Parts: sequence; C-alpha cells; structure tokens
Amino acid sequence: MKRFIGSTIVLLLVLVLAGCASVPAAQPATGTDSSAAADASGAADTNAAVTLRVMDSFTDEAMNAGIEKLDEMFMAQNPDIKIQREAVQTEDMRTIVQTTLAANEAPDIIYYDTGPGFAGVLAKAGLIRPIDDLYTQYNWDQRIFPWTKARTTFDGKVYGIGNELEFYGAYYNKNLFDQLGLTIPQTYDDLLAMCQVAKDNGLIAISFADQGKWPAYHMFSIVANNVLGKEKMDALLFGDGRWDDPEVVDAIGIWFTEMNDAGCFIPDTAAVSYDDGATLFYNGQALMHFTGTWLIGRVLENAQDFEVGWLFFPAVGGKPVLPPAGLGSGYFISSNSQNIEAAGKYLDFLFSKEAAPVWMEDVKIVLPMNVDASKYNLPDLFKFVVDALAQQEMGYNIDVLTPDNFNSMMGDGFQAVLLGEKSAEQQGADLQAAWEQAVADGKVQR
Amino acid sequence: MIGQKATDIRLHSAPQRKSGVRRWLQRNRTGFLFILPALLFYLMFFVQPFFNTVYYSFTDWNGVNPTKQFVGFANYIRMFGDRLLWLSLRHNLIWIAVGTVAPIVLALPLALILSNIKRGRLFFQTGYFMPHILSGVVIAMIWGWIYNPLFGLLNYVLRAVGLDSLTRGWLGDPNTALYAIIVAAVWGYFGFCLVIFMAGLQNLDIDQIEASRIDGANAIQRFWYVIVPQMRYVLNMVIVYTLIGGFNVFDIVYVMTRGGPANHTELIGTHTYKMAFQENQIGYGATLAMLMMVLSLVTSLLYNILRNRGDAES
Repeated sequence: MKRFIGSTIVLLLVLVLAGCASVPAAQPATGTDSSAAADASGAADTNAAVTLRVMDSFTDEAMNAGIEKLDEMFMAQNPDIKIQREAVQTEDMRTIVQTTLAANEAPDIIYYDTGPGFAGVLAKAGLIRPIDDLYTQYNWDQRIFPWTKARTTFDGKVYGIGNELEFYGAYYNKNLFDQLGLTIPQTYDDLLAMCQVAKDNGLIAISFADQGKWPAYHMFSIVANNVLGKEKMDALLFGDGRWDDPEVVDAIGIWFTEMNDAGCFIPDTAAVSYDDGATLFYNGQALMHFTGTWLIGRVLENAQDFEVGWLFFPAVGGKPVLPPAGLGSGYFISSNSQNIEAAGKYLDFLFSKEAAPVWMEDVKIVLPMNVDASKYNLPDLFKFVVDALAQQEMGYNIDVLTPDNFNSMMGDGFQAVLLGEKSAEQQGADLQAAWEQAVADGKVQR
Repeated sequence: MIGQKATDIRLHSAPQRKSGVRRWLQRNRTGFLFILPALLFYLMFFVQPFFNTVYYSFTDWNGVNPTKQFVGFANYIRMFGDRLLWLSLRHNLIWIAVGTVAPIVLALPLALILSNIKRGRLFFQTGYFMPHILSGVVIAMIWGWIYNPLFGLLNYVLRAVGLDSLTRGWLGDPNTALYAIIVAAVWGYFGFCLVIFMAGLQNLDIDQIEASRIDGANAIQRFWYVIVPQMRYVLNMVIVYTLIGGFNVFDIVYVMTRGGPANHTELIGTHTYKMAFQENQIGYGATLAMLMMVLSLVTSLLYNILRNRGDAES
C-alpha cells in the first residue's frame, strides 16, 4: 500500500513539474508535423508551411474584424503562411510583451508603442530585431512616410514600422454650434468666449476628463505646439530647449490654469474618466471633445443624433496652428523569430495599397503612406482626417517622444496644476528636472 | 566511575537519538509525501520569487535588459530621498489607522447584535459577508460608479435630500479622495471581520457574562470588561491581518484613482507599480516591495510584542 501511495505521489509530482516547467522558446504551432519539424530546424519559411504568431491590440469588435479580414487576404495570397493572431488589451500589452520576450516565448510580430520609453527599451535590450534589411528588400522607403521611420529608429537602426497615423484636435457638435450661433474659433480668445457661451446655456464647453492622467499629456501637446512653433519644439525634444522656458510655462498655463479657471472643462475633471468625458460629448452635453483621430470610429458610432465636425486648437498670439501628430503603435519583429522572411512578407502586405482600403474602411486607421481617400467609401469626417494629414503642417505628440519618468511628471504634475496646488512655473521646473534626470539616465535620444 | 558512566550514556544515547529521528521520519513518511507537492509549489511560487525580488533590489534592472547591473545598496539609499515614497508612506499610515479601526468598530457591535438574534441571522451574516468575496477591482468599480461626479449615486442622493453643497468629485478632490477609497475598502472588508467576530463570540464564557450581569455591570461595561478581553485573540488576528493588508494595498486604489489626483492617493503599492512597470525600474520597484514586506513584518511583530506585554501585565 505504502509503495502504491509513494509511486502515485511521485507520478503526480512528475506530472505537476512537467506542467510547470517552462515551455521551450516560442516555436510556431503549425498544423502539420512536417512544418513543425521544419520550424524546429530553423528553416521554417523556405518551402514548408509557416505559422506566424502575431500579437496586437485590436480588440475592438470592428477593428478586430478588419484585421481578421486582412489576415485572410494575406493567407489567401500566401498559402504557405498561417497567421496565428492574439489580440490583447492595450493596457495589458506592455506587461505581456515584456514577459513573453524575456521568457523567449514572444510571438514573431508584436504591435507595440513606438516611443523611446516603449519600443526603444525593447530595442536597447536586444529583444526586437532591426529591420533595415527588410526596409531595403521591400523598398518601404518609397511607400511609407520617411518621417515615421525616425519614430522607430533607435541608435541608428530601424526596428519597426509605425502605424496609426493620428493627430489631435477636437470633435465638435455641429448642431449645437449652429443652435448657439457659434463658429469655429480662430483665436484662443474666441475659444475662451465659447466657454462662457456654453456655460450660459448649461453645457460643458470641452469634455476634458483627466482621471487617467494621460489625456493631459495630449492637451499639453496641443497647446505647446501652437505656442512654441515647430522650431522651438524641435529644440525641446531633440536639442537643448528647456521645459522651464517661459513659452512652455505659458502653454501649461493656458490649458491647465486659464481655461480651467474659465470653466471650460467638466467640473471635477480629475475625477472623471476619459470614457465618461467622451460620453458627455456623445450625449450632446458637451460642445467639443479634444482628443486624437484614433477615436473617430467610436465617435461616428456613438454620436448618432448630431453631425460631428473637426476643429484644431486655435492660434495663440498670431502664431500658426500646428496640431500635434504622431504614430500610435507599430509592428516590430521579435529577435527570436525564426520566420523573418514570412514576417517581412506580412508587413509588406499590411502596408500595401491593397490593404489600405481595409485599414481605412474597416479598421478606421490611417496608414503612414500616401493614399487617395476619395477612392474609398469613407465618412466625410474620416476623409477630412486623411486629407488634413496630407495637407496640414503637423507638430509633435510629446509623450511618445519623451521618457517614462517625464511622462509620469506630466501626468501627476498637470493634475496638481488643475487642482491649483502647483503653478505652471513650478510644473515647468519639475518637467525640466525630470528631463535632466532622463538625460543623465541615458533615456533621451538626441 | 561517575565520569565513565556518563561517557557510556553519551555513547549510547547518540545512536539511540539518531535511530529515533529516523524512526520518526519513517513513521511520518506518508505525511511528508502528502505535503511535498504543496511545499514544492510554495518554493516555486513564493520562496523563489522572494529571493528574486531581494536580488533585483540590488540591481538597476529595467525589466527587459538581459544584463542586471549590481548597484549595491544604491536603491535602498535612493529611497530616503524619494519624496513620493514618504508621501505614500503617510497615506499608508492613514489607511492603516482608519482602515484598521473602522471595520472593527463597525463589525464587533454588529456581531454582538447579530449573535443575539435568532431569526434571519444567516441572512444578515451572508449579506454583510458578500462584499468580501468580490475582488478589489470589482469593489473599486462599484464605488467608482457611486462616487462618479457626473452620474454617481452619492451626489444624486445628496442632491435629493437638499445637500447640494456637499456634492463633489469625491475621487478628484484632494481632501476626500483617500478617505473615499478607504470607505470602499472598509465596505469590502468589514464583513470578513464580522464573520470572524461571530465565530469568536461562540466561544465566550457565558458564565462570566452572567456573573457580571448579576454583579450589576451594564451592557457597555459587560462589553468592554468581559467580552472584549475574551475576544482578544480574535481581535489580535484581525488586527494583524489588517495591518499587513494596510501596507500592501494596491488594486482598489489603482483602479479608482491611479494614485491621483496629483498623488493624493499614492500608496507604497501604487508607487511601486509605477516605478517597476510604468517607468521600467524593476530594481527600484523590487526595493520598494522589500520595504513593504519589512514594514508589514515589523508592524505586526511590534503589535504582537505590545499585546504580549499587555497580557503579561494583566
């Protein structure tokens, strides 16, 4: 009996340990034994079938359907490549990707934020692979906007293709504008006057909600670009500009002090989530919703009872309007991927003229390449966005270019300014201190 | 002769003890085999990560870099100059003070009342315990809706009863945010205290209570001088459990405010998360995790020492 119990326990232990033991480095889960053998030998994408593992964050129903459509198109063209896709929530992406990469279990392709605090960290750790060779092989320079390449270049090497071209401004309720006799504000003073009109009519002028802290980054980018102009923004982000510069302080003061004091925002804005703020706009309780073009699909879906227009933050002190633009996430290839050729083919397909209509019509994302929006079946608002990207000079989206400690200071510090606990000058000084710390830690790319 | 005899005894007693230990091991072999799987899990999922955390706290690892540079005590020294850490610690102490006293003050009298009712006791007991089975995230979401400045129940009720001046963004106001979260946490926790207290009340010495009643003690005196001393071990368990939890709070705060507004609800747990996973400073994050552990241990030990001293004196 004792021997029986002993053997059973030993067997159980073996099973438990086998289950707990880490699985070998990510190998594509292929459908056939022969392809699995081919993968194991490292000659995965020659003739045998290849399973390409892709992890992205297109969890939204419409977006997910669009990506599935793209994958089916790709697999129809490349029957030897099977796409095995996993979509995870954006907020979970960082933890999941870092863990899987560190455990050598990463998928072949990951869709990850492009900034130095995100993909830059992975590149520095050697967890994602430079793709300069693929850029040359597929001639992507001829197709993809060159400036986007800089956003995925770290230490002189290109590591990915940035996607989700987006810029910031405001969706506005055209019906309410008409009812109140409002026109698109041309100056900052016009905008302040609109806040008063909205208040007088029991409406919220701007549905800015800052519980999540990150919306403040974007608002700062919107105002800072208009106040500082392109040259000074260049100096700030890539040269020796200073964040305690009086113009930076002005930009902080405009949004977080003056407009807040003028009652432009939702009361108790630091207690309201981004989604709740957007809902106020969808429900017709707010005149404008300042955010990025990534929300366009959801705005068109939810704002059913009125016509939606788009406006940029107006000129400040007669300076040109320079809406911040940037990339959302981008595609990167894991260093451990054995399927480089298949990955190259997949990326080449995703950023092709053939895939562009699906990206725009179904996924509602603008690709970083020249496309003729008039050819596609797109809502007017989306066509405007695509055209604006081609015609309007754009500024910088600050938080994707700044290191994580600086972003923390933006998030916490702007809330403190909104609450009146900190002056714009102090926040400028704190941002400069965070920047200097990041420079000292080697986190800033010049 | 006496010395010789003693040597003989020593010579004989060692093998006897050895064989005794062996016999004891042999006798309990099956028992050891049964606890072995749990022990292995404990080693893998607690001991090994614990030692990893200790190791990381001496490095500047960013979470992804293959090399972990040894930095000695640099992370520990850095803690002393970390303004946010001191602020977080202050918030933790408020949390511990309010979060320990409030559930006990609420649950103990309620347990006494419930233990005296015959009908519906289980219903109330279950009802009060229900929030405890919810995860911190769910509690945070429920109370997030209650406190919502746009459509929250709390402001709605205040307006309905004419207390408009009290309405506010509870989680966005620096004066109320931390306490608002503590209320949510107490709601989720006090049902647990209640059930434990009710179990403790089952073991009270009824004769002592009856004797005090005959001696003329009123209800408050009976509660304070007879019931509470008899409940001291149960109270001790609840207090230690709450103290440890008070230093490790994370989920409910992170979901409700992310440490905001402007760090007014920043706790060591949220600060640790921010450092480790948002700013890619796993090394420093591990150091903060060590601090949390040490604080929990020291506080619990101090409490137990004080309680034991109190017991000895009484």
